[in-house]
Amino acid sequence: MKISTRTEGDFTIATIEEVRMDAAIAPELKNHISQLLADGVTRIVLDISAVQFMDSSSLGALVSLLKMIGNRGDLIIAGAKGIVADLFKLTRMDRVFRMVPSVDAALEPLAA
Amino acid sequence: MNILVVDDARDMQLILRRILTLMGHQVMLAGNGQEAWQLIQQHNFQLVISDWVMPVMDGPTLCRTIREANLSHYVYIILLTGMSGTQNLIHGMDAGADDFATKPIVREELEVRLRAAQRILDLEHTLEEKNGHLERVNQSLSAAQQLIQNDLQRAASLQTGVLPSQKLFTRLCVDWHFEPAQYIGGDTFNYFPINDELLFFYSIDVSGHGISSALLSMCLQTLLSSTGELYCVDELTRSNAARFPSRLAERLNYHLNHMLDTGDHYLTLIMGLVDIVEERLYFVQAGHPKPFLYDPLNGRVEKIDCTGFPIGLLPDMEYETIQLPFPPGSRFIMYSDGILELQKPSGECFTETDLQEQLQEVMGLPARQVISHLNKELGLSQRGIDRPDDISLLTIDFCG
Repeated sequence: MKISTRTEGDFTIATIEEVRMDAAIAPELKNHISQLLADGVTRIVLDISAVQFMDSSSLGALVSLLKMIGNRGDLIIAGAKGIVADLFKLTRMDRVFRMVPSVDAALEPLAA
Repeated sequence: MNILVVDDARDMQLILRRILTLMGHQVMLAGNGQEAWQLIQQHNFQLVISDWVMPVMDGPTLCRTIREANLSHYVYIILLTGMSGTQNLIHGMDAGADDFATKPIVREELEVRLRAAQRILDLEHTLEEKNGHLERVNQSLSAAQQLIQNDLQRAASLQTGVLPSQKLFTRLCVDWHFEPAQYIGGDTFNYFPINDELLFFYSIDVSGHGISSALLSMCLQTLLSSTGELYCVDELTRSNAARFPSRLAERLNYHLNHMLDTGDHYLTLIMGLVDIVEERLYFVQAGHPKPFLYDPLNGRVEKIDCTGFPIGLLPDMEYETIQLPFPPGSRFIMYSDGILELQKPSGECFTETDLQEQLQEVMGLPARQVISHLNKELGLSQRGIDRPDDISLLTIDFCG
C-alpha cells in the first residue's frame, strides 16, 4: 500500500496514494496509522481524495482506528468523493467522522 | 570414498590403487571409458579418476556419459592428463570434469585434490538432504491444502443449505440469488412466515469474505432464527410491527459489540417484515445498499433513499423502522454491494442506476424470471469466475 505522511502544524497528514481501498489494503492501513498513534501523533488528517473505491473492510479499519484514538485526538477524513463519499453517507459514518472536502479545509481553523 | 580408477596403462592403475588404498579408500579398476561406465552403473562410486586418452572410450566421453545419465547422486570426476594448455582444460571442463591432475602423479597433490572432492561431495549431500526435506514439506503442505479445499467445498454446500428453499407463500412470492466470492462468504439472508399475515425477512452482508465472515453469517442465522435468543425477546405481532425491526437491530448491535468477539467484522443489513393485511412493509436499514421498491400504481421501480449505521461497528447506535405502503403487485428488492463491484462489458462498474434500469425492464415478469434475467445481464453464476465480493439478491413480491 502506498501512503505518504507529512506534518503540518499540529496535524499529521496521511495521504492514501491508492485508487482502491479494499481488503488487501485494510490491515496495512490499520498498522500504519496505529504506528503513528504509537509514536505519539494524536491529530491525523487522512487524505483519501485519490481513492475511487472503498470496501467494507477498509471502512471497518477506519472505525477501529477512530476507536483507538478515542478522546485523545482526531481522525479527520479529507477529500472523500463519488461512491466513497456515498459509502460514508449510506453507513452514516459521515456523522461519526469529521469529514472535510480537502486537506486545506482541515487545516483552516489552525490558520484562523 | 568409493573410487573408480580408469586407465589403459596397467602400471598407472596399480600405482593409483596403492596410493588411494593407503589413504583408506576403496578402489576398483577399469581399462577404458566403456568398462568404467558399466561399473559405474552397478556400483556407487563417489569419485572417478580417469585417464584422458584411452582406447574404446576416452576420458572426456566418459565424463559426458556420466553427466548425461543424471545419476541419483553426484559423481566427482578428476581427469588425468599429460597434456597441458588452456584448450584442453576448457574441453575437459565442458565435458563435465570437476578437476584435473597431471601425470606423473604426486601423492601430496592428489591428497589435496581428494580433500577438495570430499568437500564438494559433502555439500552435494547436504543439498540433496535439504531438497528431500523440502519436497516432503511441500507434499504435506499440498495435502493440507487439498484437505482445506475439500472442507471449503463441503462448507459451501452446507452454507447454501441453510438458505430458505420455500419460495411461494399464500400471497407472497420470494426469489433469490446467492454467489459467494470464494466457496463460502459473508452474505446471507432468510425469510419465514410468522403467521398467515406476517413474513419476516433479512438480507445481511458481513464485512470481508472467507471463512471468518462465513462463520459469522451462520452465527447470525442462528441468532435471528425464530427460536434464536435475540428474536425471542418479544414476540412479533402485527401490533408491534412498527417497532420490531429497529429494536431487533439495536439488540443485535448490542450483542455484536458486547457479547461476540467479531474481530474487525461487522455487518450491513436490511431486516423487516411484510404485513399483508395492512399491505405495509416495515424495515430497518443498517448501512446496506439502498433497496428498490416497485410501485404497481405508477409502474416504476424507485430506489428507497435511506441510510443507517452498520451493526457491530459502534455500540449504542439508534435505528429506525421505515414504513412503506406495499399494495398487491408491489415488489421489494434487497441486494449486497458485491453486485456493484461487477464489471460491465465496457469495463466500468455496475452502478445502482444500472441495476434500477435492469429491474425496471423486467417488472412485469414473475420473481424467478427477474433472477434469470439478471443472471444473464450481469453475467452471474458463471463457473470459474472469481468474484471480488459475495453477491446476494432477494426479491419479495406481493402477488395479490
